[in-house]
Amino acid sequence: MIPLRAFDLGLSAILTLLGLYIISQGISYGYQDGAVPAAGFFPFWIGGGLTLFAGLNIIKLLRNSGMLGAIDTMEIVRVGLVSLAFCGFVVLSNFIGMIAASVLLMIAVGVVFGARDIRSILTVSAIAVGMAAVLYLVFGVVLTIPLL
Amino acid sequence: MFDSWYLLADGLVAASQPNVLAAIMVGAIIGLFIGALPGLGPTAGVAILLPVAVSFDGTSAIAALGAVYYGAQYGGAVTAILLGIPGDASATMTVIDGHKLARQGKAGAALGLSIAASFIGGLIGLLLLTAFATTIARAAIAFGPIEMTALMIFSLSLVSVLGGRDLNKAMISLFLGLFIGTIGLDPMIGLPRFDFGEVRLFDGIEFSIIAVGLFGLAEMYATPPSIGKPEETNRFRFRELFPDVRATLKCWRELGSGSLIGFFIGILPGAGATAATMIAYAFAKRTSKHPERFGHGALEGVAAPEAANNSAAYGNMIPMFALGIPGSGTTAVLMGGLLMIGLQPGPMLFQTQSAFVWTIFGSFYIGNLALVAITIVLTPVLATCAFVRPSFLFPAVMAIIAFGIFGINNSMFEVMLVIGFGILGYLMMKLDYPPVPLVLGMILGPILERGIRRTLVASDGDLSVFFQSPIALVILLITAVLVASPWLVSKRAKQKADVVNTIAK
Repeated sequence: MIPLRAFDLGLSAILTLLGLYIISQGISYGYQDGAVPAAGFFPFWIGGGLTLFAGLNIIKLLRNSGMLGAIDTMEIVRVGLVSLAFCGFVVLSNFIGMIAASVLLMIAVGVVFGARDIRSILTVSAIAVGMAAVLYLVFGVVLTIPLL
Repeated sequence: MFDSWYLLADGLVAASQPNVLAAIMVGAIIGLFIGALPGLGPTAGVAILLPVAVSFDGTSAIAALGAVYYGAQYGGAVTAILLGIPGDASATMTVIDGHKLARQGKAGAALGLSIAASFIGGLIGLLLLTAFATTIARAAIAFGPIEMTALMIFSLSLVSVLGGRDLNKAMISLFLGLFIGTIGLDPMIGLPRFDFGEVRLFDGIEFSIIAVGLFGLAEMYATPPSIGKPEETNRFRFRELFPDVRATLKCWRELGSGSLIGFFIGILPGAGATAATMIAYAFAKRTSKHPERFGHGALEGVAAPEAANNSAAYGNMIPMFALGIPGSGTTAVLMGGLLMIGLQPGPMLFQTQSAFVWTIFGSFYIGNLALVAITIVLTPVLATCAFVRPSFLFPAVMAIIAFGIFGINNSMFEVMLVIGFGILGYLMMKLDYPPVPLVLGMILGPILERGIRRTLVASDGDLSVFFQSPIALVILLITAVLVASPWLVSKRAKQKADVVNTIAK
């Protein structure tokens, strides 16, 4: 189990830094043009708000040392694997085409979400092939989208 | 006074065109299944279908997405009654008495009543939508840039209502959304902002990418693989699932009160269908001659929340269509759909795209009627589908997401963005950062920025113009009250608690 507090602190820290980055970029775009707001006016205040509230969250988390709960490590692994499967789909599409890559994506996602025995894998494979055919018809033929 | 009804008649005719009818049927059936399936709510369903739907013509797209929304209200009750699992949060109150009735062998009575209540609630909601929408839109035409800016500030302050338990996290979410809204070319001078050297970000980030990632992918990431036990089978015979007309007629009071409560609560941004069902259930119990029956299989306990549920879905549409304010997560995503097809929701939509608006309203009437028959026929299938394993369902949904997002700009760059927003949405869900304020910020932020900058250009930087408009002033005062009220209420509660403790000592 991974404590949620660690994730929250990490995310808040990243958002605080993002806020500071937005402020600096806002200043570089120009805050005011004469008496009227320039392109950097809104980003400046957005960055300020994000830095303020993310910073407040860090202070709140550090003050309250109690546990906020935890995430099951396997759940994180699942999220990571599904995201990797999607990335794999993006890369493979350039080599074997989107339809073939989508079959592999669907089988991978099915396995990640629990299809581990032979029967389930075969069922997921059949669903994947059927779905790929449907996607080709809908997107490639009906909507005439130039699939890779 | 009768203008709206003449326009609705034209809209019904336009919505009867084959392409729009097909879109309504497809959307309603998909919505029914999404409502029945635990793990995917109407917001996720509308978000996932957004990139696919907008590939079709604008009217069909919005008709289909709207049908997904109200179809899900029908579907949520089926599994709530038959299986004791609310398919969606707004079906939770239906479980209390609905599932008890099913266990007493009265599944048919409960289901029939829920279908009738959904239809009657939906119809009353639609009639009120027809009656009120134009009036509110006409009043809103008096809004110039100053008033619209004040309205956008009010809309963004709704984060205090829509933002959940932790206001600080809601504000983080809001500012993150405001930042995402600034990505792309500056609206006034065309300067690229936050494009990170990527030309594909010059037009900003497509709304559907964020919606699909935050609501669709995140929901699936968070669903444990153990949901869905294929060894469970439908325990009900088809014959038992037919409605009991007499039981339905007995609940006419609860159907009426639930519908009215649902619609007027639904109009309030942030209140949502779930709150409407709870208030309707509580009202029905309070005014019932036999309140002790509630919680033990009272038909009235199904009638009131189901009518409220469906009526609230249409009440939710009024702030979105008439004012350009999304009142819930689902209408925020729907509003994104309107923007994607080049339409700006708000009072001018009723002026410039009147035919479109009334065609959509006409499609709602047709869809609401069609769902009665569709739900009766598909109920046994819906009850079975609640047990489809994520390992079979999610691969198909993710493939649809991949192709749908690719189809926006024929680019894998957007698919990579969806993966990123999916991970962000998952983290936000786990860490209790509400996603709706992010959507609010992303949609309304650019409108607010244009309003403020145009107003200040016109007034040569004079901020006092915001206080010279009576309408803007009233809106800003309401905003201040809305923002301050949670803090004032908690301070007062704390003072009361201190007094009670002092007396106790």
